[in-house]
Amino acid sequence: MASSKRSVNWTTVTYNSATITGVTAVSFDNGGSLLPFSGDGDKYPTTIINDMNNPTASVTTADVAAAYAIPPGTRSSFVATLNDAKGGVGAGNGARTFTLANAIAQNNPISGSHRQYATATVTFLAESSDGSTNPLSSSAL
Amino acid sequence: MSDETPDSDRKPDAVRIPSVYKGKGHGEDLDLACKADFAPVLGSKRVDRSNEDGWHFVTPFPRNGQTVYFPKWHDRAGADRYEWVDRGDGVHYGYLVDGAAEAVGFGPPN
Repeated sequence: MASSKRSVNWTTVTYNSATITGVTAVSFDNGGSLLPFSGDGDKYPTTIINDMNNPTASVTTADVAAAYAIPPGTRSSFVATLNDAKGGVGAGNGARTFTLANAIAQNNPISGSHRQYATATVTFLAESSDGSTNPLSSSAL
Repeated sequence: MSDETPDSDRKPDAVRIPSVYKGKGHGEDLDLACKADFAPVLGSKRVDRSNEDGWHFVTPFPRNGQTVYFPKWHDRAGADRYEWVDRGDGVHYGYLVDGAAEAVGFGPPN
């Protein structure tokens, strides 16, 4: 089956090789920033460069124990697969795995309300060991 | 970069492709194109792709800490970990240089 070019739901969400279940949301972000230059009588930037990137990721889960097991400062890889809307996780169907290498847990707040499922969201920043290679990568199944 | 393959029988360890690379027959899905075009080249079932500064870095999946340059802690910090060989169409095959295989992560191997 060819890729539907639509994606629905996350599966095989792991951190430090431990599976996180009950996942309701995942995000990956290259965290790019631009540095514009203008001077003299300029009214628009005359130079814009991508001077820094600060990749991030997050996962929201009903498995609060799994989230609470990832305290701030923990370092490992955060991995999640985004399913193709029609092809699911079949190979070559458009599903892809995102990996945030060297993902450092930033925070893991938990919240719960009366007669609602409690949820927790873990947020990650990432390091690059050479300062140049992007810690965020993707891979087609 | 070199025009000579280090060893014609050796599989590359990574591939660098230009940002405009379209692949063969996978529309706009660059991940599928990279898998189809480079997994056989790298001898892996899947490949990992990351956006770099104007190009893409493609390695076997999972990447396991592979980086373009030697890491900050290493004596050769900032030097290329790969010898890049031009395939002739803007795609470069990368071969790990001596000492690069162990130079991953945030500190020397124990």
